[in-house]
Amino acid sequence: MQAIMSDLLSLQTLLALVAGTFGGLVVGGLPGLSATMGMSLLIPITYTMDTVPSMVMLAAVYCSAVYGGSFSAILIHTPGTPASAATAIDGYQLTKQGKGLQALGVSTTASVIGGVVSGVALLLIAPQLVKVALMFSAPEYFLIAVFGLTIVGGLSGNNLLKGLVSAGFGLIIGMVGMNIFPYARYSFGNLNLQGGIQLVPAMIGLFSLPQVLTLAESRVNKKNREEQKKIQESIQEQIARAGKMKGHFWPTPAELKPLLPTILKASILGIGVGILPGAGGDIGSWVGYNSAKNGSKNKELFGKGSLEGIAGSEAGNNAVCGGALIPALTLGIPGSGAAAVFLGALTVQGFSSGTNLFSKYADMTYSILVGFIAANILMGIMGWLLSRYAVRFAALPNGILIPVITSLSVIGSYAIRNNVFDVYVMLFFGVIGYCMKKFDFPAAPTVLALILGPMAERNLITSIQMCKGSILVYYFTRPICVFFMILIVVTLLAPVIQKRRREAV
Amino acid sequence: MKKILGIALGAVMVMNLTACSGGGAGAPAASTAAQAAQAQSGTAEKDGDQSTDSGYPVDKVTLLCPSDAGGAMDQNCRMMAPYLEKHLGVPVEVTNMGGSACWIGWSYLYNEAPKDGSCISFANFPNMITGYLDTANTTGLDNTSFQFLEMLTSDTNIIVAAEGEDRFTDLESLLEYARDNVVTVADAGARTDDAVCVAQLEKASGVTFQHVHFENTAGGMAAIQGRQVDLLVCNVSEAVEPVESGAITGIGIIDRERSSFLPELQCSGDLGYEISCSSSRGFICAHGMDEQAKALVCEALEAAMNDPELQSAAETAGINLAPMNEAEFTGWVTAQNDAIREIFGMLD
Repeated sequence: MQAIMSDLLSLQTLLALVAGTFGGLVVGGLPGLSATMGMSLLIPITYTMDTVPSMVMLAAVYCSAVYGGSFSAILIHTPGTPASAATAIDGYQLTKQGKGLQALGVSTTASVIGGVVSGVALLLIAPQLVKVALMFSAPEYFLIAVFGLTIVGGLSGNNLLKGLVSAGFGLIIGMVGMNIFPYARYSFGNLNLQGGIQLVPAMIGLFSLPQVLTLAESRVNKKNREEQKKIQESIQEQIARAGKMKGHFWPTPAELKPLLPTILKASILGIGVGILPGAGGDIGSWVGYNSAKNGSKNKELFGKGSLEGIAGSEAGNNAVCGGALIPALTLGIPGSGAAAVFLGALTVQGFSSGTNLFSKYADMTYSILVGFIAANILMGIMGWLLSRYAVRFAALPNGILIPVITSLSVIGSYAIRNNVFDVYVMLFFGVIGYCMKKFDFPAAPTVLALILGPMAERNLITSIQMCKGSILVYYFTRPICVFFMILIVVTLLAPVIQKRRREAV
Repeated sequence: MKKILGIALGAVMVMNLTACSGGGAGAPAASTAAQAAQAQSGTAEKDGDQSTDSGYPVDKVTLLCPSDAGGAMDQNCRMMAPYLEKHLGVPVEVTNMGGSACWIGWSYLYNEAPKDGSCISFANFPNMITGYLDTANTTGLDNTSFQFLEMLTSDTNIIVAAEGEDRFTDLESLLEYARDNVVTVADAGARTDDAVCVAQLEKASGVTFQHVHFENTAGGMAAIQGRQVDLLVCNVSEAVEPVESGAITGIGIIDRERSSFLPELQCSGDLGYEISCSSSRGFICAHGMDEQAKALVCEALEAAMNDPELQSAAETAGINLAPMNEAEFTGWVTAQNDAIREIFGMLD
């Protein structure tokens, strides 16, 4: 306990916590910049830092960016991150009714509760899960990876087919280089490709560069000058209005009481969504929003300014953060794109997920987890202090954003192993990611497939080597394997059965 | 507003630069550029610097670590660097260049790095040998491309089983059992010292095992503790603590002599097998490096290995120093090269 506190209360960790929380709010408040991207840009800065401060900083950016997205969603009807899309519906209506500050207060309260609940769940579930991790070996990991792949495509976008194509692309990329047997595939004789595509540069490319290119598109030119001017003016006007908001921020106990069940329900759902590979904050917020709507006595208010809707959506998306870190830290399977970045940074620090994190390096791990909970509380306080100003981040000029993000992307890719080739990898994936964005293909399935594909292959081969005799008997005599096989079959068949039923009715 | 943002932008840029210089410890490309610049600036400056004091032909040495920062190889390099610097008289800087099982770094050492004595590298064995013996290796390099300066450390291979294993208790009973039963043995990868060790034992004893390749020793260690495999091959340094705490059972050492760390364990030499398997690491340079520089580096490395400060640092870090000078090291590589060539087909 003492070691955890001393790790956590070191100057570097505290600074990292504050900087991460503030940075997260900025990234979240900027429409278009997501938590995943903010985190991937910070990886190069973490190289020189100690493990605890760097991971606490990333965790803080993660949760406060997801929260920060609600500011622009509520005040200017533009979700700061995809995770706040559901919040924008009711939040902006409330702003128009002059209840913007109240809406922000509810969103803050719900985010903090959702985040803290998920942090506690992480603290309680992860060490238990890791205890049974010794029962997990190659066959189980193979099936978990396959399970992750079966749901990754469907859950991560509006279009199932596009999600599957993205995941398929990730699988192909994952085949480059050597797997368990040291025979390089698709390396075209290039030494750099023999070791496979490096995950971190690929992630930076897929998450950051497309955003820069999209921002660069909105350059003011002769044709759209008037239009751009109008947009700028309306944003300025809304920001000015936000500065003059009246009312109280924190909900009173009487106001909070009817919202609490909604918040807790959405938090638990959010944790579940977080644990599933591939489903991130955006899904979490919609699940939370829908559960709030279904459980509400005032359904007619939804869409016209419901505080319950905001509470459900914001508790849901922040609960995803802690949930997504559970499988990442215990089994090495990230629950969301942002958790994949977190895992990547942890690997750069020289740690791999699993038993060691909760035994040999338990002090360090618990410091990070407690830091995560602290970040969730700090973001509420900071949000309260900044409530009238945070929306200004939305007006940060592109002339500053674009060069900063681009230079961070290039430096980050290079610094990981001092290899220019990784910069080319980043640029390649940046261009691919831009095309994917243009044609509405989600990037998260690609990254998850890039992790899960090689993992599935490696563990399938290892399990074949481990079994003495029939591989089928080997798999079917392992209870956890049978459980996951049933899960995979159910996941694959569920949509078909649902469709049949609907047709029968 | 714009001014404030401008300052913030500047701050971010500065952060970038510090992150870069600290983490990377300077890129090889950057250091060669610096040297080129220095060469252009004339001899006047050169007279004043350290190179004349130490007699070393260049004023800075890059110690290339061909794997990523934070790993065991990186720790070895960073442990040695200050002592090499002390005995060589010029600054020594560790640079990480990981990728493709070290071949990105070694290929850079041979093909691109200056051969004036300003770049030497670290290497791990038998991984380097299994790497170039592989027909899939496109670098075209082999043991004749490098010169082997000084061995740093050697970590003998050990075979361990799960806690409470009763089918076999030592090397002899294990081999007896494995003659009639399928025995799975985990290693840390198909081209690692662990896999080489299993293959050497198979060749010497005539027994075959079912190889299970994990990604690293941690994966194999979890598998043996969860009783997913029958055996694990790893290194003594990795096994001493779990064997002593009873988490796993030691079976035998694959060496001509017993290990001083776990003296109660049978060794393959006890059974009359003339095999010795280990994970060994040492310092190398590209073939054709400046002879005068090479001689000075060898001398400094040997002096560093005899430095009591390094010896106590190594003991604290649990690193088993195994000095070998240039002649011994070169002979050892040749012998390993021949031995591994014979068992190469048995690695997968």
